[in-house]
This record gives sequence, C-alpha cells and structure tokens, in this order.
Amino acid sequence: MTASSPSGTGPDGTGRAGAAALILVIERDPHVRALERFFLEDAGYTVEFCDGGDSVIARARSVRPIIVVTEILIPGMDGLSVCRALKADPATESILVLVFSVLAAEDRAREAGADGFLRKPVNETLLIGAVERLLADGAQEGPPRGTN
Amino acid sequence: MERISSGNQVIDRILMGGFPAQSINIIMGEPGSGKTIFAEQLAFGRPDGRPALYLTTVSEPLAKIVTYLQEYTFADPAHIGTRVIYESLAGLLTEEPERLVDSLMSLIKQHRPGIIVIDSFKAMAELIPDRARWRRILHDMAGVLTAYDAASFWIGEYTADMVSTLPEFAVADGVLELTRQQSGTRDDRYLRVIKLRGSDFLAGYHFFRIKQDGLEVFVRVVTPDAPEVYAPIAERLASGVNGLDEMIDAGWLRGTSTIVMGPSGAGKTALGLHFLREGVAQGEPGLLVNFQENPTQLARIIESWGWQPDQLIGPGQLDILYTSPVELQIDSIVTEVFRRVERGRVRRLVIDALGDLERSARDSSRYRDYLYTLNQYMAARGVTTMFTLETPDRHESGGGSAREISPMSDNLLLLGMQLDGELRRTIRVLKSRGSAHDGSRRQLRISPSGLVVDRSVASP
Repeated sequence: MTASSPSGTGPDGTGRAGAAALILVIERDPHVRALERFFLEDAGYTVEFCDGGDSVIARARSVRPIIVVTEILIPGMDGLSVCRALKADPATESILVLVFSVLAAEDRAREAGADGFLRKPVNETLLIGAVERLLADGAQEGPPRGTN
Repeated sequence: MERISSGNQVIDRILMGGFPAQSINIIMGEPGSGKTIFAEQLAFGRPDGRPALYLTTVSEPLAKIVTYLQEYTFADPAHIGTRVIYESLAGLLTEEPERLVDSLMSLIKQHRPGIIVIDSFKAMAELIPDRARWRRILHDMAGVLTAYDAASFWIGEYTADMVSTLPEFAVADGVLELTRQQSGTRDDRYLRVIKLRGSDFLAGYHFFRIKQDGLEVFVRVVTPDAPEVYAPIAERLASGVNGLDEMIDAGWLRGTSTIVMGPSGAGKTALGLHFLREGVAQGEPGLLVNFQENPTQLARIIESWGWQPDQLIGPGQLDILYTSPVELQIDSIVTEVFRRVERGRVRRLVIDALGDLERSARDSSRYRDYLYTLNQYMAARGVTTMFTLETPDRHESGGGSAREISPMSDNLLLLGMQLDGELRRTIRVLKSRGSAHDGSRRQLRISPSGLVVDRSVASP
C-alpha cells in the first residue's frame, strides 16, 4: 500500500489489514462529529469516536488506529494531555496524532508531541489533506519505534 | 483573520477586507431594499472552487427568484446548478420543520458549499411560532454552520427594533442593514454595518444604487482623524481674470481654496471658468463640477466670450462633471470628484455651487465634514480649488451658510450687484490667507472677451 492509502495497515502495522484504515476521533460536538465521520469515511477511512480523553488511551491500545484526531477541549483529560500520554506510552507512541481544535494552539500541540495541527472549522480539503500528509510523513520516517 | 469577498470591492472596503471567512451574517432590510440582489451578487462573485448554496424558504418562490436574477449581468445562467446551487426548503418547512437541521447537514454533505444563503430566514422563523422550539432549531442550525467551514448569510425583512430582541441576532457574527430613506421626492438607498464580530468596519450609512451589474456602493466620506501632512507651495497661479491678480499678491497660492460668494448673476460661474481656462492655457488639467448649467448651456456661455468649447474641453484639458441638482447625492459626487481628480491629474478644481451640495447632504454637520475633507484632500495634492456660493441678496452679505464655511477656505471673494440706474457688478477680496491683498471694492465688468476688474475703487 502507499502511505496515503486509506486502506490496509499503517506505517507501524497499526490499522486493520485488509480493511479501511482506522481513525480514532475524540470530539464532543455532535455537528463536528457528523462532518468528520462523513468526510473521513467518504475519503475511505474507518472512523471510530471516543467520548472523552480518559478512555482514549485504552481504546488506542486496543484498536491500534492509524491516526488519533483530537480536539483540545474534550471531556475528562484534555486533548494535549491525551497527546502526551499517547506519545509517552511505548505501546501507542507511534500512532500519529492530529490535534484538530477550535483553539489557535499549534505551538502547544507541537510541544505536546502532536504530529500535526489543524484549526477548526471542518474543511474537507484541509482535513483530508492533513491526514494524508501525516500518513505520507509517517511512511517516510520508516518503521515504527515501538509496537505492542 | 481569513475573509471572503462580498462580490463587491467597495463593500469589501467597508468590511475591511470582506466578511470573516467562517461567519454567520444577517442581511436585513425592508422589502425592495436590495437584500436578495446583494446575496446573489455575493453568491455569483465567488472566485474559488466551492459552490454557493442558495436556499429559499417560503418568502418568494424559487422560480421567481431565478427569473428575476437573470436580469443582472453578474448572474451567468451557466453557473446556476454548478457554481450557485439553488434549493427550496419550502416543502420541508411546512411539513417537517423539525428536520430542518438534518436537511441542512445533508445539503452540506451533498454540495460542500463555500457559502450558504438562506432567503428568507425571517420567514422561516415565522413558520415555527413556538419560540422554545424555534430557539432549539436555531441553536442546532448555528451549531452546524459553526462546525462547517463556510460563511452563512441569513436574509430577512428585519427592522431595527428586532436587533435587540430576536435570538438570531445574538447568534449572528455580522449584521448588515440595507435601508431606503426619502430625500425630497426621491428614495436614497443606504447600506450600514451594524455588527461585525472580531473586525473593525467603516461605520455609518453608505449610499448605494442598484444597477444591472449589481450594487454600486459609495463609501461614506469621512473626515480624516488627522489632517494630511504636506508642504505648502509658494507658487502663485494666475486667476485668468484681467486685473484680479494684482489684488491678491500676483495670484492664488497653489493648493489653496477660494470661496466666491455672490448673488445670482454676479459672475461666480464666469470667475470659475476663467480660472479653469487659464489653467488649461498653462497646461494644467481642470475639473468643473457643475450642478446648474447643463453641457449645452455651458457651451453657450463659453462661446459668448469667444472661446471655442472643443478647444477647452477634453482629455488633459477641462473635464466637466455635470449632475442635475435633482439627482444629486453628496457621497456619490464627492467620490466621483476624487476619482476624476486622480485619474485626470487635475490641478484646478471648481465646484459650482456649494448650495446644491449642501441641500444634498443629510445634515449640516455632515456637509461641513464633506467640505473639510474635500479641502484637505485637494490641498495635500496641490490642487487649487474654487467653490462658488450663491448668497441670498445682491448686497455684500454672505449669509449664515457662508459664515459657517468661510473659515475652511484660504481665500474669500465677495461679488456684489448694484442697481442704481445701471447694473454694476463689484468684487472684494475679504480674505487671502498668507497673502497681502487689496480689500477695496472694485468694479467687475463682463466684457465681450471675458471678465475684467477695473483699477479704480468702486463706490459702495
């Protein structure tokens, strides 16, 4: 598969072989969720939502998404803490994280270890472009640093 | 802040660059004020790839909107259905209003629009009389339009008193009002920004006209916060009137302004024309802004002095901006004067007469603002300006209007008429800022070859 392909496994073996690549999204706004699901699925990805930051680490360990897309303002642990926790855990550190927020917080997202940042609102071209760029960059960096 | 064009360059200037890219805006105004044309010009003026989604409700049938739309040159019918997508919500609103938000989301997913127009939004709200229910729908609708990257425009026949009471105005990021105000027997149209969250804008009422190519808007002339800084020019300019220059220290200083006051028939227009003709002879392009004599009447006056109109009027020489005082609107005139001065590199300007300009202004304080702004603009560009002002009687009296505006001018000339057996015209220099001047009353004669100021002092 190519790095930007929405199907198959991710650069570190994440995702689901033979199925559309999985993106785990943490977002509480129902309208944003509806648009994210529509545009990402339309681009060929599988989308799963987490209700809040507290459950995402366990879920990421379990389902091995190719990318985690998170808002900063989410119930429980905030999105930047989620990002730090994913990057601090050897089991999830290679999962790409895209912070997608209403806040102008690119620098803070980068400091927290995010691989990408995108400002809301939901723009199909920008969202799919950001996801594809992350996947392409992830593929160029080579094999994962750690897997479970 | 990212912005999107309104489809009209002047409105973009008023909005300091356009509407915020991801904003909800209300376009309000009474029936016939131009709201739908505004929205359509915006929808058809989009340069980028994403289409505009134009949703009609229950105010006007879709077929009617599209039929009238094609009268305007900005609306290319080939773009209907591709760059501008029309959909009607009328059936849904009358049968299942609760599905409005779902339907909006479906349309967004289907068309992926860059802007969304809902016309009429107010009519839609009126179909849902239960206020609590309407507020829930409004909240959800605002949620969808905030989540999705598009600018939205809600069109409605709202009135000013509704701005502080209806919930849609609390949701809106921008509110723009189109109004009609009676001016004599004529209706003038104005555009006003009431609110633009997160952005500055040019406040106040901006005059506009509806033309075949859409709205023609004139930015309200505003007084600069601080006068423009410029170096005064010591050069003297000949007035073109034989005998006058020696009364004013060898001529007018370049970049100064002069008010010529006097009763009807005293020679004010003639004085202005002499000033402009002298400029053309010296290679200085001139502009005559005239509200009284139409081009034919003006040509007749010029010919009466033995001058050839076609040798005086033309590109690089004398430009004439004639507007009937009946149709005069001060913002559009002042904007056009600025445009012609820049375009024609005008060095001498005559405005004949100030009284017409004053009557076209909405109030006297605004009139003084216009004059101050005009004076500052011309002085900073080295344009030497002459205003004529008709006084109420033939004696040497300026009247109230003259007293108010004369401090703004550098020079003040007073023309008079005396009827003691024969008609005698007189001229006095009342003020010439920065110049020695002869304040005596002289006789002003209109000779077959033009105006002449006699050397002898005229009796009172």
